[in-house]
Amino acid sequence: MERFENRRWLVIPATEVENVNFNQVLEAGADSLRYSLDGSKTFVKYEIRVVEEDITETFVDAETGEEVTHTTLAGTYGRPSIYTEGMTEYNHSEILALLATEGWSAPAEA
Amino acid sequence: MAVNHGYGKMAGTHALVFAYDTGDTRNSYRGEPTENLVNTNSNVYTLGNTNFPIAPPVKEVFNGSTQNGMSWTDHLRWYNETIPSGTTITISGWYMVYNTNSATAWQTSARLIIYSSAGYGGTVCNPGAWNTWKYFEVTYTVPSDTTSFRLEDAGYDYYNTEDASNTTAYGCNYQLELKSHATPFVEGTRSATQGLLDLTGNSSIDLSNVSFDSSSNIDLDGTDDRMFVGNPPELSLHNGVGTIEAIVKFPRDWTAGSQYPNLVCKGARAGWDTPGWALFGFRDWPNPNNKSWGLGLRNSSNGVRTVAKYDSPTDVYLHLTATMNGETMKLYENGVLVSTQTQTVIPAENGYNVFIGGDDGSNRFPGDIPVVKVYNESLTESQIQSNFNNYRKRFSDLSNYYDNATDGGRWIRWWWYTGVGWPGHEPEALGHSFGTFDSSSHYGFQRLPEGLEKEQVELLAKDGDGNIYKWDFASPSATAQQVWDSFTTGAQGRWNNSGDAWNPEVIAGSFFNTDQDAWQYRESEGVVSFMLDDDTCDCKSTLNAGHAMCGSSWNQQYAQPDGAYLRYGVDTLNDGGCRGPVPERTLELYYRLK
Repeated sequence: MERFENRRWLVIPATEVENVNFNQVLEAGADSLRYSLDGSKTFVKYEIRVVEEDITETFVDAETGEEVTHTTLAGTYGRPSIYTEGMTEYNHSEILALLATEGWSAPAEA
Repeated sequence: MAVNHGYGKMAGTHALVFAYDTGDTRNSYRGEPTENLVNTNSNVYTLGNTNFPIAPPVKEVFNGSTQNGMSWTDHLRWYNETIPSGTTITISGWYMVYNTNSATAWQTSARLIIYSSAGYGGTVCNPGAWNTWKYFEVTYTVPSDTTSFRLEDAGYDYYNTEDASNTTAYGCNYQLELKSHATPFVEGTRSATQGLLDLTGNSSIDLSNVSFDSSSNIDLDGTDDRMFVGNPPELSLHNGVGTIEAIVKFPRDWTAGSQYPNLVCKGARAGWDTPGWALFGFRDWPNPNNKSWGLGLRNSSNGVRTVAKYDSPTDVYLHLTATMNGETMKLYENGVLVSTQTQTVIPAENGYNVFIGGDDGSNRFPGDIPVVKVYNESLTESQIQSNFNNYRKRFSDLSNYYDNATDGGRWIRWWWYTGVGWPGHEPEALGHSFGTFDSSSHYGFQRLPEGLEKEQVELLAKDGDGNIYKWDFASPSATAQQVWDSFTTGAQGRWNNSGDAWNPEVIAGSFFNTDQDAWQYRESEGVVSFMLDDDTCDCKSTLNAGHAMCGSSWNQQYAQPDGAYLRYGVDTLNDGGCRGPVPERTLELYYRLK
């Protein structure tokens, strides 16, 4: 199983940082973000939960004694509100590949 | 320096200036930073009740609850600010159904269920047994704005309990977190600097930028994770004398992301690019696919000195130690000196912060670093070996012996016999747990480490004749299962599974190509011996150690050469004839995870 199988990364313009709800991502705050070398971009990460198909469960409500039906719709849960359809979402190996590029990693003497 | 430590006496602690150990949950690793939303605004039924008939298995009890008769009543009701739609929460705690008259209670049927104002949240806990505390944890994505949760006994199961009057449900240490997994219980908040404590008390470790796995263990992902330790003066090491010790795992699949991250550093970006010092861990350096590590120093005049160990094993824990005494830099891997360099520079005094798992720039390490220690003196080789041995039982990967060349490498030696002579005081070929013997022993009669999953383990055997065989424990063969049981638990017996073979893949040498479908691990002339062959009588055997065996006894005809009685040792892997174990042969067994 791949490490961080359910973790996703979202690259955003640095100007969007003020719109990030840090309760919805794994980074603690704006100060803890890693930026591209030119400072124009950064990224946030979060855990998603994928529900493949609708899940419907029926139970007896404890207080009323009535049946309660609850449906969890198929979809992907856990994305932050800054995510919008069409944005590129990276998995672990994909984000590592991106971060190895010149835009994100300074060349070393080594 | 007085140091609390959960793992016994360590060498050099008088010189210790920084230390953490994520396995020491009492003194060092308290858990992932979190906020427990079960607080004084919550309502816990019979709040504070700790009068349990059986003590819960927790360090301290908070928010104890009890409910007699298994009727519908909340154990916990939480109401606070609204939790918005889509938020993932996790509720955890301990729960027990206690029955004083279990003879008449025919079913353990109580369940703890979560209800929220947004809908049903699922079964949290079904104890499964009377009078036993059970830890529960449920993760729930709130489908719409939610203003309250409650945990309660499931009433419909009440009807299955014939003895409700003698039944009581108990719970305690409830925790509600805005996370996708539970963390160790905390009353209130565990801040970013309260999760991992420096055992020396010199420094504060900030986990704000650290990832955690679903078990709430630190798991650096290599993108933006690193631990921040600030700039404590004890860690400057600018006099050029010190030791950096760490337990590290290099992931095999680390092929992208930063190439030159530091493991522990103060300055010395990318190993040595800025003034300071670093214990570094690089990928694809100096050659593709290498995972290498070392010590880098840079002084204020931009003088650089490095010492490195190339191509270390991956996906196994390694005990790495770098020392410098002002004259010499040394590297020890698993207690063995692996590289030395004259020390022509001392690290510059600098204003950089100390980081673990990355540097002050953009480099980040994607592996595991469960232990870090920094000393203000250069430890001796015997001190380093002592510390290495202290960790061997905890990290079963640690071994002086690993094979990183054969068939892709990553093999860890767990059993060996070097032909010096069978030790007369050892009555069982698999008589000891893994980690009992070190490299100084001429034999290692150990079992495989505990906790391995059979389907994930491969076995490698090397004999003194140049034969190297590999087996895959994932085989459905009964023979494979019996070997596994003996190798992991010491299970004894004799089994002939005619036609249900567990044959090796030949990596080197040759094989006589007779199905290996019989296994025994049993006493023979005073020594519990093992043999994998074709019929439980020693012709055409592969794995064979101890005394000769045939059927339920032994037979000289099938234990060549003559004079096998009371001779103990090992046999060649490629025994196409009828040879028995002899003292002068050698055999090594290795394992690796796929």
